Amino acid sequence: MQKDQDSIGQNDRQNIRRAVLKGGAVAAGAAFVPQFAKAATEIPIGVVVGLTGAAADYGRDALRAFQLVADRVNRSGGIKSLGGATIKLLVADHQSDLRVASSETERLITRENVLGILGWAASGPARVGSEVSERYQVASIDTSVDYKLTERGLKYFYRAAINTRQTCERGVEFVQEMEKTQGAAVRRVAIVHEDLAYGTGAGDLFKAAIERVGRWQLVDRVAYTAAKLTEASGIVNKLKAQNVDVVFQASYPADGILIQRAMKQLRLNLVANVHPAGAPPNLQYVGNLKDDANYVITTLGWTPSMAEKLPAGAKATVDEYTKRHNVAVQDQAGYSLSAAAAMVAALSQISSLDRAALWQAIDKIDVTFGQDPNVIIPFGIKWDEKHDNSKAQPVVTQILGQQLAVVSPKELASHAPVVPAPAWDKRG
Amino acid sequence: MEYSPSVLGQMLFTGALMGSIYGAVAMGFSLIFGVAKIVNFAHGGVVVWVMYGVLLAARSGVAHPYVAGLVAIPLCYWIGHGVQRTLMARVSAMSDDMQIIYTFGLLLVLTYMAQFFFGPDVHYLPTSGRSVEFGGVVLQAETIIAGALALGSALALHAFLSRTWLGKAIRASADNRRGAMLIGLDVTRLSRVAMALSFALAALAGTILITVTTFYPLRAFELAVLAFVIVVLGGMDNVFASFVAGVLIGMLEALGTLIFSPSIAQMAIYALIFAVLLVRPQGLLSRQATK
Amino acid sequence: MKSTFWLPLLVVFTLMAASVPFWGSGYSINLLTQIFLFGFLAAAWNFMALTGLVSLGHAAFFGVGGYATAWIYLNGGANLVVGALTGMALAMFLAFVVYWMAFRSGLRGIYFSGLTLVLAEALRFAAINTPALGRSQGLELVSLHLPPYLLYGLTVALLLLTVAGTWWLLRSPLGYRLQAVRENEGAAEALGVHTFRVKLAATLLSAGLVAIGGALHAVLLRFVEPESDFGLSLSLNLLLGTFLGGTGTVLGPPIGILVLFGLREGIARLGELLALGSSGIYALQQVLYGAVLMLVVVALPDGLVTRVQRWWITSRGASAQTRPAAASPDSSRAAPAVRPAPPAAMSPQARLRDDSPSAANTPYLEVIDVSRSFRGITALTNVSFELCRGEILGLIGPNGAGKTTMFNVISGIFPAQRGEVRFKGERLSALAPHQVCHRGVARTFQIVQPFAALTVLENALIGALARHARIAEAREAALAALAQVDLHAKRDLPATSLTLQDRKMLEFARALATGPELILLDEVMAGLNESEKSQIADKILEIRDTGVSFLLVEHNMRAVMQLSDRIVVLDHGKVVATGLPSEIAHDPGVISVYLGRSLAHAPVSRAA
Repeated sequence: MQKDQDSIGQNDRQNIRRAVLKGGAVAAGAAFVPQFAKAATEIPIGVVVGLTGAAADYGRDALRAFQLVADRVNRSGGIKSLGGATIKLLVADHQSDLRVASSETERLITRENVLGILGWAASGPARVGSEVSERYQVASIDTSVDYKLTERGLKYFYRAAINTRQTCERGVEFVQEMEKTQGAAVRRVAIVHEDLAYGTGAGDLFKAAIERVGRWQLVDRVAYTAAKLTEASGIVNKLKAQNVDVVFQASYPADGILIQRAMKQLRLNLVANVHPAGAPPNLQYVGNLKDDANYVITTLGWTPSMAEKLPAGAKATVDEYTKRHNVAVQDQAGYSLSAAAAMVAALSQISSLDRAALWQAIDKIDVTFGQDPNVIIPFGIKWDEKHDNSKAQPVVTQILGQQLAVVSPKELASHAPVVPAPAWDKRG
Repeated sequence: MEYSPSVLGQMLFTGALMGSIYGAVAMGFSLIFGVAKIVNFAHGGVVVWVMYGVLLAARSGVAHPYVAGLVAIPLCYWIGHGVQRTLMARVSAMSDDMQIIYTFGLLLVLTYMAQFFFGPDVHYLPTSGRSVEFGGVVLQAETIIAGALALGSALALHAFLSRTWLGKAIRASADNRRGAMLIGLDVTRLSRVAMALSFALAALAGTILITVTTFYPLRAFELAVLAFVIVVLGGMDNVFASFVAGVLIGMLEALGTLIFSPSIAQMAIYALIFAVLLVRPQGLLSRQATK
Repeated sequence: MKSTFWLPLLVVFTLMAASVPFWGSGYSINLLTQIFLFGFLAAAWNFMALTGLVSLGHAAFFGVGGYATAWIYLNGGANLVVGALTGMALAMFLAFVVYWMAFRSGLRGIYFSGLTLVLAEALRFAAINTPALGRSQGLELVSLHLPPYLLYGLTVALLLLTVAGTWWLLRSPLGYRLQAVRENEGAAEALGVHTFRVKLAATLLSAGLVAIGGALHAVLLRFVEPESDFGLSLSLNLLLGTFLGGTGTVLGPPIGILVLFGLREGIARLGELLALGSSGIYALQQVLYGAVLMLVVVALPDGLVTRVQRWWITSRGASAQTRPAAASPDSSRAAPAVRPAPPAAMSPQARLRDDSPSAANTPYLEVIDVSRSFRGITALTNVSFELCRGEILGLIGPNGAGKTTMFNVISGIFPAQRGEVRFKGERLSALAPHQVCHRGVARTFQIVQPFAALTVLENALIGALARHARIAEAREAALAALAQVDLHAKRDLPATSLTLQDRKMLEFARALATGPELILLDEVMAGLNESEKSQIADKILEIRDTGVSFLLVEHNMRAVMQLSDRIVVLDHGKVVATGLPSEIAHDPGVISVYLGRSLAHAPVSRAA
């Protein structure tokens, strides 16, 4: 493949040739030549998300967020540094299928000649899709949370969201804080997770963090198959028999509901039940469990109840999203708004439609919460050496009164945490 | 970890109860295979539709789940009759692979129609919160009722098939279709009854399942595979054997969860069925000496 | 005829496929590679389907191939070829162990499908729980950069090779035997086909190829993980694609896969057009897909390829009709030259033995003290009789006397629990049916079971393959056998188009083609009218004159009395009488066994 070149300042003709060569498909290239030859009116940005299949909720949220930011930019005159060019989102559905993710990413890159990619809003497709974009040297900004994505040393892959390492470690850290401040005694802990990539990854991270703490005894690590779980009293029975104080859990909504219900049924009283995103933020969790969902702790990068404490510009963005789509900004939407913000910030730094230029611009961005209204996740976007968002900080939330309330950090908290959780017998 | 009596007891009882429910799901599948020689993967789809029906009834306050179930069962019996007439009549003549594809297609249709109408969200009915406790074992009232209903229907079905004239006729036509025709049995009508019963059993299974667990459209696939695997384990010629095999699997699940983890328990269950099939290919509990 | 239809199609395809790397984008090449890979996988699955077994767990072999390749790539020095070959060997070993045990247990039908499904699922869960295999996240083949056209070329080559291989296989002895086994295992076994070995061969071939496919898939996508590699949806897609195109055909599987892909794409595009909102579209797409599947099963039960072939044949209208008609005058004109003189062809073996003086009258078939019971019901008790060479021995008795059981014991379907059966001095009783056939004892079945998917000639060919390893020689022997029963003219007709009488003759011809010295005829006259019966009787005598001995079971008293040289009477599993027909006819014991009437009126045998 061609080496990266310093392309800032090259004229349009050379851009066209490079675009055609990079695209590889003469026909596709020819279709785009006229557009590039004119005063570059559209910036093709690829969006690969799951609109159908298992990760459909996240994908749809992500798309809504991307569209909102793109529309906002286009409405206010486009990207000034590119002569007012508008952003055109080219959307592909990866169907939560790895094969499709791979081929759709490739299609957008080679057929539609996108400049950069926003996606994939699900860890499996992200892993596969980013391999493709790396091969073609196209920069991508992702909103998936699996920590392993940034362990691969890819040069063109950036993650705007929080990652599972952050959320899991924050969870463990938070329990330690609670031990000190609330005098809650923790001796024995257990990990419960579903056996697919999300759960297993979280399980590994929890285990490592717990081992670093040293004081606690990790009595069990329970892996279950989410799709096959019909009732969870077997799992909870086991936990109860081992007298655990804290359960660190990674579940999908359906199985999360079953486990929580079993905990109530068997009256497993815990000091805390901590999740790294996953089931509790999902509307179906509280929707089905109602008051039984209370006191569950979740660490994540964004939750709707944070909106109140946002800086004005960010809050306006959240309100616009809520009004336009009639749903609150869920975590994926939050990450995606910020990812799109990063993309826009990068686009504003380049003066020609060149993939290498965009990549370099993305690499250098440094956006702060409060300065850019599109960035709503605390506290901004800047990449560390692994291309993780070094400014992102997970917040700790707890379900109180059937609402997900932020309990830490203080500046964003709306409630004080309730740890240890009250015994089941004592709940209303 | 201490395996105290209450821990073991919890495992045994929950495993047995859940297993009975699995057995209830499998029985309908087993019946239709034993009698009409149809591998009906769509069985899982029927169960899920019943679950949605009961859900709607319960959520809108029209009827208590069990009451809705009481309505659903005869309704499904009647539907099963109709389905046999229209869709399933030719299926028994099809070869194995054709049947699998046909009923799988039907399963797709049922499952995704449910998703289209009801959405992919997870639902479950709020439980009454009542439970029975003894010796440290806590059992949800709904689970006990579900298990009891499953066992009851298994026994009733067994009695029907072995004691009543109609039941024996159905078994006869299952054993030897041609022979049954020759002695004057209306095998078509018997197949229809069997299919109707199978649907009624699906309705029962759906009703008790929804009181006990969460569900969403794609559960249908899991239930189809579960029923298939249970029936293969228990032996196709005996409906009660399917029930027992279901209980066995429920208990293995519980045991495996306690000793290892649920995920490993799944693997162990499959490995076990694999071993059983090799040693005793007619199924664990089949009455046949050889296949 | 078949090849002239498909050959140009294949040539066009190969040319088009070869041109793709020149004009296709990376994306198109990858997409096509995936489609062709699945076509190849379906063709490999097809080999297994040729045995008549439906495997729902081929993902097991696919996954083994993929994971072995990935693991060896990551831990064994980045050698892909070694990885793929190891995967193939492992998969074949797994298949060998599993299916050997399954066949020994006699697993069939839905139980077999269940076994395969359970195997794949067990492996999937094993992968999910094994840290060394990456658990649910699987393994990534990092920094693997193969040019897309290389993989593409490899896949296309594999696809073409497998398709060609299928074509060749179907015309090879193994292929014919496979088809016979698929149609009717029992009949095939009686004709000398080692069904176990045949099925195992097909299984191993299928498993090995699918494993290679798994290896290729791993290299193509650069990852392996439990759901993609061991998942049920993979196995189901192979079943669907192959079925859609036509199971057991040469081009069916890849064409079916192509149609499947096209169908999915088409439904997706339709969904976009209707723009119902994504979850709505997706659900409806799946509903449509399911409905199409059901429709295909009902409307195209044999698959697209077969349907198109038939349409092609019928659309050639008149020329097609005249062809068979033209065939018969051709064959009958050529007959004197081509048609082998039956007695000459069949008798050399028999004649040689006839010439040795000591051979005459030595017992050929000896049944010595045979007893057999089934679950407490005694079918045979101490049955003994002998058959001499060149003899027609009739075995009669009322219903339930044990005649068919006796046949089954002799032909090896059941072992004798006590006593033994000897043929030409050697023990027959411990042998399997196909071995019995190879020893020179053939049998026909009471209910005629022609191999329905084959022509008359091909039916006879199966029998001939018991004696002749090569198709050419077997074909000649088959033609000779057909000539002996006057079915030579109908040799190219499908076996199912024959009348009952002709089918009986075909059974006969099949048995004859195995070059037997003794034929067991099980109620060969059942269902025939008088003239047909006497035709068959004449045939039997004709063939006996060429040196073949017969053991007959027959209900028709007149026929048995007329045909048999001697008669053995069974009742309730015991021998009641043995002797010449005339003796038997007047034996009071025998008469009482039958309550006498029909026997009293039977004429005496001519052969006496």
